[in-house]
Amino acid sequence: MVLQIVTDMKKIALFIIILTCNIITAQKNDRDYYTLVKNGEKYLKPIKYVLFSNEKDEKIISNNSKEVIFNIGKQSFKYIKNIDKIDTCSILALQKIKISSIKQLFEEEYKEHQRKLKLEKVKFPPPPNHYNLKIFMIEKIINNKFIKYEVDWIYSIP
Amino acid sequence: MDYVDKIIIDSTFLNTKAECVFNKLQNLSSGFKNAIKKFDGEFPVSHLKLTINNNLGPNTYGITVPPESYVTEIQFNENRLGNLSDLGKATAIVHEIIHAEIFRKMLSAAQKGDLNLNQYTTQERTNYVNSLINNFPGLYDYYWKRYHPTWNHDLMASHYRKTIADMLQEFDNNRLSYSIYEAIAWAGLGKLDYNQSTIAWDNLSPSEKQTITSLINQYFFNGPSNCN
Repeated sequence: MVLQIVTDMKKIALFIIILTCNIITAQKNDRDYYTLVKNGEKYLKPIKYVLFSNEKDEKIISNNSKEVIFNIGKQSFKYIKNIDKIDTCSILALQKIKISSIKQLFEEEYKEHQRKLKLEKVKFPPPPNHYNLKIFMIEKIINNKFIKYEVDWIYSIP
Repeated sequence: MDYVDKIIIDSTFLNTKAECVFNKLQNLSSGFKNAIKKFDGEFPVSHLKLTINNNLGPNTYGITVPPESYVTEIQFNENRLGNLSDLGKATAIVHEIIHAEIFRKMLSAAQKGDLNLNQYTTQERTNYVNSLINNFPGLYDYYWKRYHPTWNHDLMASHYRKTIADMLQEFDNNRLSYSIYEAIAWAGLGKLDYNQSTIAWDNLSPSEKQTITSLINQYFFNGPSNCN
């Protein structure tokens, strides 16, 4: 009986962790949308996940711990404490999401641009900034636990 | 912040290795000075801001940030520049200045302070694209007709390497043969980040790639370094 209660509680705790992850992701604000043109139709930014590697990549905590910069190759992603969301996820939640490589991010943002051009029946090049994807950086902290940072993909040319 | 003409020198840039090499480049007689003049003329369409940012990623010596409010910012990693010869530092600086020059051309076509096309009105965007087609057809070709995420480096690799090599030759007082400056000009324009490479690089033979890589390794990192 006691064992059954403990097992049930574990299940509930796991469910809450997964649920928390999803609820925070599900909340929308203006930053989750973009337009092709000033005051144009608002589109929801597709969500992409990038896995941070403690071995290969670089994490810099700056500005009195108010910002975290993730350098993956020559691409930089910035988390700002007072603006961006942060969440802890279990490995089960992580298994439900698709991780993108940097190359895939570039491809996805261009595809998204093309899809919306087709929808609005217009043709013009993508702006030289990252404007149409919402990105989360996933960092493993301990076994089976991950932190999910909402980040800005900083546009720059190396 | 100090303003030198219309080139904005951030306080972080003062008394750095980057500033030392930048000043030497500015004292050259032709190429670099002319490129810089476009930013500080009587009616510049873009100002250039030079700063230091030591939080840039591994193997990143400098980056160019797209213009905002008519200012194009170049950030250099002072720590990583310290690993390079003066010729290597000059290459990194010239490379970023050319990125800024490409943005300057785009701004002049846009007649606006930024290139955030998704914040333009439909008319502004139409005018911008038409101006690019009419005034910078080559740039337009890379940026849109043959668009690829690496278009900026593709454009540079195909059309600006001689400009870079000429500037490096003058900076280095013709110390080496011109073919070495041509090879060093490939730095940052061959193999790129995230397993990409430029079209021009892909068109080279394996032996050409090997020779260029070897010369870059030899002279980009090693050699006279008086700006320390």
